Amino acid sequence: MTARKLLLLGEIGVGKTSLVRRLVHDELPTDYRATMGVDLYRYEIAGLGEGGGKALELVVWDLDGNYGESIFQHVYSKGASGALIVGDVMRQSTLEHMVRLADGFTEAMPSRQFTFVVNKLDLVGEPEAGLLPERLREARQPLVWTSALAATNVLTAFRQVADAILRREG
Amino acid sequence: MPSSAVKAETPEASPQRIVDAVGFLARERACSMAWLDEELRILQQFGPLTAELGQGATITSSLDVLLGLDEELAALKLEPERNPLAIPNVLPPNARSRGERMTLTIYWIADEKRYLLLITRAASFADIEYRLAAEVRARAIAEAEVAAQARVVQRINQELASANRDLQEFASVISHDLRAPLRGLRYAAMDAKTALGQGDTRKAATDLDSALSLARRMSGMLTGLLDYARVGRKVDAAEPVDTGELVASIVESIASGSGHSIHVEGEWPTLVTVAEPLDIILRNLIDNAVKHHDRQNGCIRVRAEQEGGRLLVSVTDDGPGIEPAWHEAIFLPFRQLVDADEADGAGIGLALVKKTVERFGGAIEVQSDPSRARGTTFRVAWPLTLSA
Repeated sequence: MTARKLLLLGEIGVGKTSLVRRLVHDELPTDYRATMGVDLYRYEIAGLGEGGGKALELVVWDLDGNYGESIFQHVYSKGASGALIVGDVMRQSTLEHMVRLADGFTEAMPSRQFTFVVNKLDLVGEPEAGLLPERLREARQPLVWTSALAATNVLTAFRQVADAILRREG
Repeated sequence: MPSSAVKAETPEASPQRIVDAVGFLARERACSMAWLDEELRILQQFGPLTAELGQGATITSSLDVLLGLDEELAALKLEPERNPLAIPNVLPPNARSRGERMTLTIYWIADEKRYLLLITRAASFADIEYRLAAEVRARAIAEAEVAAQARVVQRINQELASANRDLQEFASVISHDLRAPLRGLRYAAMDAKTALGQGDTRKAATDLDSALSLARRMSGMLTGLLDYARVGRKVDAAEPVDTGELVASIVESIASGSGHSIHVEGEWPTLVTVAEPLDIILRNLIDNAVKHHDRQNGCIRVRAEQEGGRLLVSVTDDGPGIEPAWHEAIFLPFRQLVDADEADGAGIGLALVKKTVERFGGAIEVQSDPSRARGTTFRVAWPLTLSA
């Protein structure tokens, strides 16, 4: 089984741990504890590629949100094949931070794949592009609206970036 | 890292080197370790955390935390200043308890030409550190919520200010612009009455025709005023709109029999937007270009292109042009460059266009200077994505 390292990036409290725990354990943390350091998760995504015959094992690095853009100088980010860049739809500053993280990721790891994830969709009901900063709206990278709480589109987000990693590697 | 530590497992190690090695492992709180060859293959392993690693396997494919780090580890051999490589505070895959954090440190032992992987228990975080992190998060979220509320208040204030301006504008329009035709109507009716008193029925009929004409004009003005007032009050649902089809249908309805040629150029995309307001904008601008042209065979170009997050639409004619002094006034209700009696329409079109464009977050400008060249261009910047 092919395994690839995937970073979960985003400001503190945007729901990175909730997303990956929803994916792996189909549960949410019962009490909030900020991630300090890095938590690793392993999850196999099947049905990828044309015809759905491929699978990829993701080793997800759920990172401490306090690193900000300095994460790209840290050993934690080395060797990653892709990233999910997560923001909280109710906190504009986290959405603006997503764009800066994307810039840092692209500079540190050119040609690696990433997907934008706008989390906490349950708080607004429907995806609303008007809530996003202009640069996020205009970005060419894929963007997935999720709710870890309501289990909406969580697998879709991980599948999207897994598929992109496989496509890049041919 | 004392080089003596790496010789601990060799039979010929001196007692002192064994003491050094044991001291090092104790200081580092090591719980597991492994020797790796130059190609990162596992030679030997010790301790519970490496028990399941198979000898001969590559460490970067055996331990999730080292996945993808082949280049980083190879660099340790070439760049002594990067030696060792430490990955601190890692919680292993799928662990449900947060008390099992570890730190992995990989040394390149140049003398031995092999790597040493040392796995140590990471210092556990105190509850107070978790509480502090939770408070930092709560504060960040609270600050964001306050900022969001401030934005809502600011938007409501802007809407109130805009509503107040509308109200003042209305008061001004009703008291001034509607008064003129009303006064004319009254004079015409009085003249007709006088003429009838004098038995001059022909003059009375002419005066009554004037009164009817003024009444029709007032009716048109009131209809326009109601359209203008409705902008922003009606909820328009966004839907996929083929702007190419929209502009083609408008051009077809206006160009027919006008004698003018209307050319549609550029790229007209399908947008998720509000169809009716966009129709009002395009229709009025194209209709104005035709209606206010001073020749029978004018040329009008309607062009669209995307730039940034906006659709830039321009309507250019080769008509008489608009003096720069009028560039602001033409966007006010009932301001026309020609005499109201000559004009076809209530004079509300451009005001309606401007208000509609701005209601949806767009902008409009006019470019024209008859002293330099004929023609006028109206440019509309229409947002590709509508804000709430």
